[in-house]
Amino acid sequence: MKKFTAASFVPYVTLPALIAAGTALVFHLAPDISNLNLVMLYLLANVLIAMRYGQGPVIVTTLFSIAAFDYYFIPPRFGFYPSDISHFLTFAIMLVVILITSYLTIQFRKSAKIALAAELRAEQEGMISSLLSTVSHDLRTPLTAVSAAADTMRRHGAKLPAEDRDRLLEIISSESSRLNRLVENVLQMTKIEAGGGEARKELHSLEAIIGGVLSRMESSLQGRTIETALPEDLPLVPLDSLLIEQVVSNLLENVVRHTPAHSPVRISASQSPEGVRVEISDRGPGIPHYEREKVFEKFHRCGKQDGWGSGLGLAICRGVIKAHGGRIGVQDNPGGGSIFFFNLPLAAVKSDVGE
Amino acid sequence: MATKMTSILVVEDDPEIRRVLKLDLKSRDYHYMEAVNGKDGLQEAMTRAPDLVILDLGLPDMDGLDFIRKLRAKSAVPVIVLTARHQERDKVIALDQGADDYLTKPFGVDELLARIRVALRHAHKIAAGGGDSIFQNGDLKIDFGTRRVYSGEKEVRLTPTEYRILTLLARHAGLVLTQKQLLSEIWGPAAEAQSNYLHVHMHQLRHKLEANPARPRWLVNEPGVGYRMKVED
Repeated sequence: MKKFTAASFVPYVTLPALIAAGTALVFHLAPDISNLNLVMLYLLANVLIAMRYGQGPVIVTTLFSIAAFDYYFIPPRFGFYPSDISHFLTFAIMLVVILITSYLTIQFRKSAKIALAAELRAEQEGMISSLLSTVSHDLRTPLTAVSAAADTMRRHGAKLPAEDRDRLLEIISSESSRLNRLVENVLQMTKIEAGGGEARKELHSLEAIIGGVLSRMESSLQGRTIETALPEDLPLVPLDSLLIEQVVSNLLENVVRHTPAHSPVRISASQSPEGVRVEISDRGPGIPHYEREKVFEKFHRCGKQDGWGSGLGLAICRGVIKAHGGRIGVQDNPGGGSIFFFNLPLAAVKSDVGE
Repeated sequence: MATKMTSILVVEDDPEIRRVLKLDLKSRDYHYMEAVNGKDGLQEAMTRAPDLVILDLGLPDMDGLDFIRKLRAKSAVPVIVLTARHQERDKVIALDQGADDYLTKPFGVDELLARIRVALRHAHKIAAGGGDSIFQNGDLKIDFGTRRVYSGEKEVRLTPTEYRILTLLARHAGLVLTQKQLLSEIWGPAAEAQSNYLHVHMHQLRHKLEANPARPRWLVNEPGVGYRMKVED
């Protein structure tokens, strides 16, 4: 239902006023204009109004145009009763032509809207089907591992050597955390898609965010040396700590997943014209040029299906960085490997500090 | 038995989680009690006076936040809330309303036991008057009497605000403090929305105290919640 507010009545007043002003202008500048041209002018004005304002206003302006035309230009001037009856025919045709044109214009706009909605729906359906395939494949794989390991423990646990039991328990625990990460990513992606991933920005130090991620990821970093190079004078950055923390940990997880164990990782930050730039550099296999945009797309996986990840981690990163007005990308690391980077703008946030 | 066992009340509707918690807590010699909904949980908490409550924020019959409000009106028992991912904002409200700490599902048992120990230790300290004159956490030492702070042998010069933030975190060592709690304690309730104050001062404090501010030993950021002083064992 369209709501009628005071604002929606405005065109009903301003548009006839515009027609009146236009009529007055023509009347004074070109009093001898032919009626044919005048009708064309009115027609043009009303078609434009139909395109812009729709059915309601155009009916009013059409009637008003006919009245103005009659009053100012049809003899006897300044009267509503034309001496020649045939002018009524002109008015009627003008009315019908304008109404048909405006009807067609409006229909066209409606079908364009419908086409757009259909396209959107198709896109959403695509998203849902990819989501379903992710859910069925990626969630089932760790689930299978967990239930198989648990079953084995229950049936044969007593007979198994201690190291096998430990191995099975390890599978259960690591596969469950993998499941958890997948679920989290799917939820987060859905939130971002729904536009609910609104960033709550506050001034934060990147150090604190990066330090937090590193201490939480300690166990999954498996003995990698992580070098951090964060300048002392790095300004505080307006960001949503919850979301940026997820970006950093998704990027790091990605590095851990795609580079050999014990290969070094470097996290650095610097101030740039675009704000603050964070880089995570690795010595892994690198990413070919043609894949550089694609890796940030939903459900994209590099190379073969390795059963890891949901293809959502980097898409979430892009969504979050975009919500911060920043930029994310990947480039070559000179000497081998890749550098994932993101920029966060240092927009004006009140930074007064109470002491 | 010479000493009374420490009792823990678990308020959780999911039977599997109750079962696992029961196993874990009993194996650590805690006296385990349980309630499957908020109404029973409140009654148990009031009548049987447990030493600690573990509360699932997503109870079917009662809003977890309601539970905390009602419990806090009668009791100061430490409360650890269990939350799901989508309850991020609720967990902060729960902490602001008097919960002592939180864990996000799924959590590790070691993590839970560590949180329980910290919360119990804190409660004992409060009950004993909380009057330690010296705080020691690894290399970090605070002398409350002389208001001096040391990192190892070296004295660290802090501004009065930094000192107050540090002591507040130290008095809750191991527990999380929300932004709102920190702001209102340090700058007064009127400053509750001025989170930038806090982040700027924490940043400076971390630079003065920590050898590597990007890998802090003591002052940890809890994204979206607040700050915690990590306890070194």
